[in-house]
Amino acid sequence: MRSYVLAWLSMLALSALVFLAVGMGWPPRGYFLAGVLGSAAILQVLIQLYVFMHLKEGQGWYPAYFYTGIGFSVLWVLGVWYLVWQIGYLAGRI
Amino acid sequence: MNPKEESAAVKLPLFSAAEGRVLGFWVFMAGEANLFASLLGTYMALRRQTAGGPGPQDLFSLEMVAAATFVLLTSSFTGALATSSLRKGHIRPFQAWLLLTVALGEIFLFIQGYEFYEYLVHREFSWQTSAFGSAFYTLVGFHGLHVLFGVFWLFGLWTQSFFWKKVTPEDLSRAWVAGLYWHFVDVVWIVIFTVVYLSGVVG
Repeated sequence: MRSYVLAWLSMLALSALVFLAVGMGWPPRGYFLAGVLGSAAILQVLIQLYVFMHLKEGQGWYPAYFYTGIGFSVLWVLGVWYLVWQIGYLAGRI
Repeated sequence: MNPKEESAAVKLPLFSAAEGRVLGFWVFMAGEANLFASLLGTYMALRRQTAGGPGPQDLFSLEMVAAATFVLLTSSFTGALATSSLRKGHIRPFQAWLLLTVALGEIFLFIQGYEFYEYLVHREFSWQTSAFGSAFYTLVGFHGLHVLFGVFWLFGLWTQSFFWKKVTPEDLSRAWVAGLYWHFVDVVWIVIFTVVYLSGVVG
């Protein structure tokens, strides 16, 4: 119960942080802000998985399938993005 | 096979229904992650192709997305409390948290429906406007459909529990996978609000 409340409150705090950061325009837009957004998202995803999806209790080898799926998903996103960007670049449109 | 050998043989099924259900669900979520990854990659590749129509910075309202995020994160929390109540054998709190989760899911859908209505009717931004429009509605709409499915699923579970007393702590795995699904949908939303909305407003 206590870990659920902590997880919930920390996710709300992280979302509030990123929405305020983007809404108020501080820090200035750039790599630092991108880093803040990315880290906040990754932290929230980890909290969801670790606390709410019970990974901290250990579930044997079952979630191994899921980790593999996440690995392929990250490759997929980067692959599609890079492919289209590269084709656009070669065609002189970007 | 004589009776002695038979008693030494491993009985089928090798997995209990509960174990099979949870294992199968993790595999299913891996496939879901790939589905959303393909839509997300497409969106990231096409998000600047607005074809003269409105772009992310013209459309997105941070207040509305922040409200939707707050609602969905909270529903994930209440969903976790529902599973944890059933695990302890507390049926009434389980039903109450489950119903609250369903209600929050519906509020989220209402906010998203209102957002789409605004874009379609008042901003003349549809699936056909541009490549950005197609990618946006497909990705965010698919997530919304997942929330809708989850709402039906959780409400079905609540109905079985409340009217037919069918969901007991022995059936924990059924509530467990529904909970996993709901948290997974929330994970996808975290990625969407960061990559689509916040990055869209930043430009």
